[in-house]
Amino acid sequence: MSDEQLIEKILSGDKEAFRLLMEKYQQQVFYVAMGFVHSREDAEDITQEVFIRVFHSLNSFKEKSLLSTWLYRIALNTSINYVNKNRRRNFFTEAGDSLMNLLNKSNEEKDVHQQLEAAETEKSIQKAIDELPIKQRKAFILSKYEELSQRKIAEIMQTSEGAVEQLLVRAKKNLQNKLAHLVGK
Amino acid sequence: MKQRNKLISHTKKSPLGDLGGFDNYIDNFIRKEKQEQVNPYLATRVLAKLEEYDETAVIVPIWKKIAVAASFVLVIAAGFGLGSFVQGEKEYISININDAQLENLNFYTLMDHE
Repeated sequence: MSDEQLIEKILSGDKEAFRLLMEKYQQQVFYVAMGFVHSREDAEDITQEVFIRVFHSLNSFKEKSLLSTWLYRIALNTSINYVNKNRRRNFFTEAGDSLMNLLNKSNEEKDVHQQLEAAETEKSIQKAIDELPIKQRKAFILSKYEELSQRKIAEIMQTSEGAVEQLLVRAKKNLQNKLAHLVGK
Repeated sequence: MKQRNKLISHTKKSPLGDLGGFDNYIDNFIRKEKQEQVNPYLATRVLAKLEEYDETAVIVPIWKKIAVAASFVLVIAAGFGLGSFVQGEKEYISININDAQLENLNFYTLMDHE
């Protein structure tokens, strides 16, 4: 069933059509959310919120763009709002994690040490991605997590392909600067 | 493996290009995050939320909203009206002037002193 047919059915009150739409797009929305929050639970909360928003504003969808483009825009905005809202909570979670790591370091074994190192590397990458300026972060997530073309990213971000290319180049430079210490390992 | 190759080929094409030494780190990180699959019951959960929303949402008719706003305006206007209608007892202020404290002007006006 095409997106247009699905929308038509949903607008006439067919909830099963909405289920089909969710099943079609939920993984994409989930990956975008993962790119922002890096946690399954949070990403699921965002995905849920995105589809509730979609359901309530589907009648305002003008079909000037593709449904997927519109969905990606909602997913990006919802994720950014979620991250901003939970910034304080994340600070305490991170502080707790660091404390746990320090406590765990006392029983040092080679295996544990390697695991900690891998966890630290992951945390550095996560932090580097999270610290990218918002536009670069959006472009980076759509490019790397969703594997979208520059054209599609430009359409979602309502900008030119050249601007997207610039954002990706700058994101790469920023990541290189922030992760320089990993190469020496 | 297939997913990894796909990701690598995409990376080479994108302006992010080969991120040098970071490439593997970032690709591994993203690959790991993408291994997470969305909960298969998420759609059911969302539909249940929507049902719940439908049940709790109380649709207030427009005339009720207008009536509530009008009653507020009426109460405020009545308050002003009553306030200006009621007049309390007027208080007259009397000024007590002690003449003795005034300077005797005759001192300046009487011819005898000249």
